[in-house]
Amino acid sequence: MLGAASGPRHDAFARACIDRFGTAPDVIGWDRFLAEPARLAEMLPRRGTLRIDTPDQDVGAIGALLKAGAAAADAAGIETVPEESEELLAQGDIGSPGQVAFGLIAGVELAEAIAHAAEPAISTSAADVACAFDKAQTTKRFAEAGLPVPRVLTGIDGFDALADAMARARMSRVFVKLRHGSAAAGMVALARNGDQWAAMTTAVAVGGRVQATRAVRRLTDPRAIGQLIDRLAPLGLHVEAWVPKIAIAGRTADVRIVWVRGAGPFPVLRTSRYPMTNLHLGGARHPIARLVERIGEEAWAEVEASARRAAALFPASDAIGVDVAVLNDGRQHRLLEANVFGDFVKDLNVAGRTPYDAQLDLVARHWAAAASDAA
Amino acid sequence: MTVSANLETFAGKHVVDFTGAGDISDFGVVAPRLRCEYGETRTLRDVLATMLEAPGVGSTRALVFGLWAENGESYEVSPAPAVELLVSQKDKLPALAALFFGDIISEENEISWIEQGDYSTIWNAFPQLEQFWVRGGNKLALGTIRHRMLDTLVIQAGGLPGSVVREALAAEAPIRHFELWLGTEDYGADTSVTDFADLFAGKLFPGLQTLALRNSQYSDELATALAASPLLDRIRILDLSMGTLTDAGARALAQSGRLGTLEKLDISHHYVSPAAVELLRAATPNLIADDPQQPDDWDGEPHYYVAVSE
Repeated sequence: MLGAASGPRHDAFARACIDRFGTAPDVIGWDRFLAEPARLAEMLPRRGTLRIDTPDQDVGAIGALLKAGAAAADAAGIETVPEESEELLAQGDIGSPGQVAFGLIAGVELAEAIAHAAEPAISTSAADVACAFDKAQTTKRFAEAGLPVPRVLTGIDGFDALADAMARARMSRVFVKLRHGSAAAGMVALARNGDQWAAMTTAVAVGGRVQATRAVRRLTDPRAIGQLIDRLAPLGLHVEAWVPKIAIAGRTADVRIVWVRGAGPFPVLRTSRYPMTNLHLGGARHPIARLVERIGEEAWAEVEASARRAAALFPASDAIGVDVAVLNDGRQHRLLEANVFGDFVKDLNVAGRTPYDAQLDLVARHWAAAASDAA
Repeated sequence: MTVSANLETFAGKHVVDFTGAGDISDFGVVAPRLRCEYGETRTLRDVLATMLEAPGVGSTRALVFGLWAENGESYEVSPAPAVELLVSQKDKLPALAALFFGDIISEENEISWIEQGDYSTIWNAFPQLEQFWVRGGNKLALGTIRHRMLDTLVIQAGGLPGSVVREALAAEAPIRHFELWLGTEDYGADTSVTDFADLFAGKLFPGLQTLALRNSQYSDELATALAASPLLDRIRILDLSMGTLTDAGARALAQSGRLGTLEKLDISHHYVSPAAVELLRAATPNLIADDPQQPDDWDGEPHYYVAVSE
């Protein structure tokens, strides 16, 4: 496994491997790999399997990816973080998610090249990572496949441009997201009513930098909102219509559906008091049955079909998490995001099986096939 | 906190969105909901016009209006054109008994931004109306309510203007359920406990069973005045939830000796200490005291917030 050498993601996958095979995977952290790429070649058996995962919260790994992504981020016009920024990140600074994404893309490319000779099965590809880590590209790919997505505003480089674009597009409610962001980092749910504005966000600009807080704040001062958007803009924005989501049990809801090649879906219903449903913001998880009961089997089948088609747009990835907003009419839905590392969802299982179990089936099958070929 | 969920039922009927012919086959068994979407061009009036042409629409008993928007926004968009059409076509809805204007959630609009309208023409047009519900206080007007059937009046707002409160209290109607979400000054509330003097003196609504003065910044004053009010002796349900009730109001109610006939006392979303909650519970076993709050001490002073304001 190439990912975080420790932390919740590492531990969860290692635990699943031990339960299944009696042994933990060989792990190399992103920082170690980027410093010494040849190590990966030494670790990989011929026709083995390579799982690639995110750096999780490992500040050292994130630092290494930031370094690996600096040049590409700079070339793409994305603000980069100062070198030696580990301390900033440890204090809640959101850093530069775009820079991390470019680092991941470069890192996965490098892993593909290094691993190539051993012909392993790799859990994702640089191409899939590049698309899934870019919300603008993901939305475009969904739309081109005929899948329902929110309307998008492009070319937003600051609050003035945003206000203009909203007026021109006749869009009074938007989600401003970091183009390469994950979770709710840097996300702003923004609404305009004449010259009144309201923003819900976890992002706070402190001393010229952006921090993520665990509390959702509501801003109504247009100047403060403008300053925040202007501060976020250099990190790269993706702006889409804020579509009204359905509520379950009195809370705003959306759906994460994880697919694992031929296995799945693994759906989970997420609810929140806030427009963003992330768990660390006090969101809750519920069985999907709550939603299916509400919208009916037919509407749910359409959601599933869309998510299945969306997952298929990332053909190199073993697991893909697709986030879907079911609209408050209970009939329509919109695809919001795809996450090639979206399989880490606490307590997500269907009939006792988790996305990890399904992926370890793939691993076992691959080994069996490799062994029979060798024989 | 905000209102996150659309209605699932209204007036005892399952709410079903009506967007065009074929969505609803029997208008009598469901509560149709009419509304706009930000991405589409139809106005609320357009959707109503479509419904009024649908076969069988005459059996509609409960009708819900959700989001109204034009050109992608709700700013300065009034429900008035839909109200006008509803009133002018009243003969097409001879069974209409329950109306909700403003089933709009926080994912669609801020409650404090909902632009309301003037409903004064409703009362004569629909003499068989039993329930009228409305959400949003901006530009809301009820006019003079003289009605022989209206028994439920519910006004939900983040800030309810005194003009509306006075129109509601002046209703000449057989009101049994009277519910106001009073809200905060920040969003246009400008009432005080004195606005309810006649009501608490027992001069209004002789058939009143449910009194719900919710989402109030002066819950303690309401509770204290009610504790001394003969009204408490004849209502069945008192709802002071979503507000700012503290020990002062809770103790006044507990010591009133008048809670014995209440079938329900709801103070949920309150700032009452556990000891005072127990005093209240001793005075009435029918207490609901969910969702306790803590005051916010951000400048050395305690601040008490209502549940729904923005």
